[in-house]
Amino acid sequence: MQHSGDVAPSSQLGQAAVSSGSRPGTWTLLASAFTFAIMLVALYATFLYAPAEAVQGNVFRIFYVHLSLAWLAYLAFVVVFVGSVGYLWRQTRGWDHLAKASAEIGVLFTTLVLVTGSIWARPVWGVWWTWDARLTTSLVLWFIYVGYLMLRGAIGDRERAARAAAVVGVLGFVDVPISFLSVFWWRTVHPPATTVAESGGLTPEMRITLLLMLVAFTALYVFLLRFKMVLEGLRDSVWDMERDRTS
Amino acid sequence: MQQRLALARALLHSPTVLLLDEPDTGLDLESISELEALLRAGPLNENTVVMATHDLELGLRWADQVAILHHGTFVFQASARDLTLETLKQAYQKVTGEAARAVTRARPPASRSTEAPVASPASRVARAGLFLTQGIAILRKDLVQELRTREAVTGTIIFALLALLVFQFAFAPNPEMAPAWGAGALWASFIFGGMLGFGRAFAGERDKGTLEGLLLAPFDRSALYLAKLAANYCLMLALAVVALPVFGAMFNLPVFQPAVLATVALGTFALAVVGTLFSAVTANVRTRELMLPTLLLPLAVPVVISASSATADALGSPGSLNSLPWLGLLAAFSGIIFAVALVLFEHIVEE
Repeated sequence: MQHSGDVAPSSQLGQAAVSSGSRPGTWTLLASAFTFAIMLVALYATFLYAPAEAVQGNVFRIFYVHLSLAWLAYLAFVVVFVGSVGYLWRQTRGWDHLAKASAEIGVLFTTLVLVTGSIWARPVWGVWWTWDARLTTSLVLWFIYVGYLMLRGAIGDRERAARAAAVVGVLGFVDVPISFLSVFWWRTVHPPATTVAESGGLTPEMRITLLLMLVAFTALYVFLLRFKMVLEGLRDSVWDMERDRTS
Repeated sequence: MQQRLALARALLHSPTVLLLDEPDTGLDLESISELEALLRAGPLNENTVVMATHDLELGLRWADQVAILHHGTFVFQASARDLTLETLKQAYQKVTGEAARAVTRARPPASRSTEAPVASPASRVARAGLFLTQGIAILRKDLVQELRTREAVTGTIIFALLALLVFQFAFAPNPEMAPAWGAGALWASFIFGGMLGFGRAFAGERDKGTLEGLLLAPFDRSALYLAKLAANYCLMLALAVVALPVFGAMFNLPVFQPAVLATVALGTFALAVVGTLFSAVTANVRTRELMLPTLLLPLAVPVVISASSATADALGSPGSLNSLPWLGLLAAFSGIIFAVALVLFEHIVEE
């Protein structure tokens, strides 16, 4: 469709990706080092600095990881939405790379949110799973974006896959608040079977730990996003090369 | 050879009107004279033949009437008997030259009026009318097709009824639980039945090779969405008309009350809004039987929850207003997704 207009920017991007891929720049090295360091600090804070919680004890430490992952997963899906709108508006490959990369990380983080949530729920609530509004919405989110990735995989043509995925990226994002509201109302109608142990407020140490974990996961997200985007750029230039060779 | 075959195919059913576009392209001299014999002396001589050619001599030799088209308008017309090749050539040069000058003079205002239509109320009304006419034309085509074959509607209804049967066996609800279980079973069967029907809306067009034709037709893409949505909604309503009484009888529940009917009307619309959109998204996907449910079900979660809760409330305590918030949620969902779908739709179907 817009092949002629499309080749130039994507192959430029591809070359940029190749150069940064073979010789990581100072910036990339610094960012990697920062991510690694802050992850270590956050882990230290989670296990050694933060005090045990009054009611739940050490089990509560999973909260820092769980909550940070959940926030970053939501952020990732916001980025998918932005990338999708950007792609539909501009039709340039970069926006699509952003959306796809962010969706993959978002699905990964949501999976971890569900797993850590389950691990946390077992000792605290006595069940692996409860149909609480936030949990259920996370599960719905997971399904939507797994569907998003499956749809991308099922369409061979690059532009068509990007367009179809962008539609799902926008629609999925719009759907989430309505899903949350409906599950919330549904929960109010059918009260949960298990009693949820209320946790006390957070102490300052806990707040600092949470903040550290959030920064660490944000850094990890940015780091992964950048690498995924470089990868998508490379994949795109391979695609272009193959097309040029066959045509 | 291909051109000969194409001509033979065109002549096969002895058409009363034959349209030929440069019929001599790719033909050898012998075939050309055969074609000429067919046109001038054969059975085709009785019929109307319209032929486009850039070969003035051939046109003059074969035709009874000669016309010159320039930028879509007839600029010259004469009987072939009154013309020689020389006079036709002169006429051609004269009219195309003149017309070209006339077009250059006329173009600036003309192009301005087509590219940036002045949004006067009258033209807006005219465009809305055109939009409606286009949508209704597609809808009518779909409905006529469905009425003749009854493929989608039969399959959808039978499948939904089977789903109800399976739910009845699987859950075997006792009478107090019947409203809650039954409402769930009803909506699950609506969704599963509907999914079968939605899948056909665009995939059917694609399989028959008519999707391309629809997309080539010069109408607004959102008219296409609206028409397909209306067709799917009709399908869902047909399903509801059959499934609801059966459901009421099977689960022994009072289904004919305003709250249940309103929920069914709104809930099936909400399903059709999402279903039509994803039917278009997955029409070109190889594994679309898998992809449509995978995309549709998670996004339809608000519909499932609110429609079955509203139905359960209405069935459990007839006459109460418990269903109202759920109906509001259904309306909000349909409205929001509908608006987004209208904006996104042109991106889905462009090929």
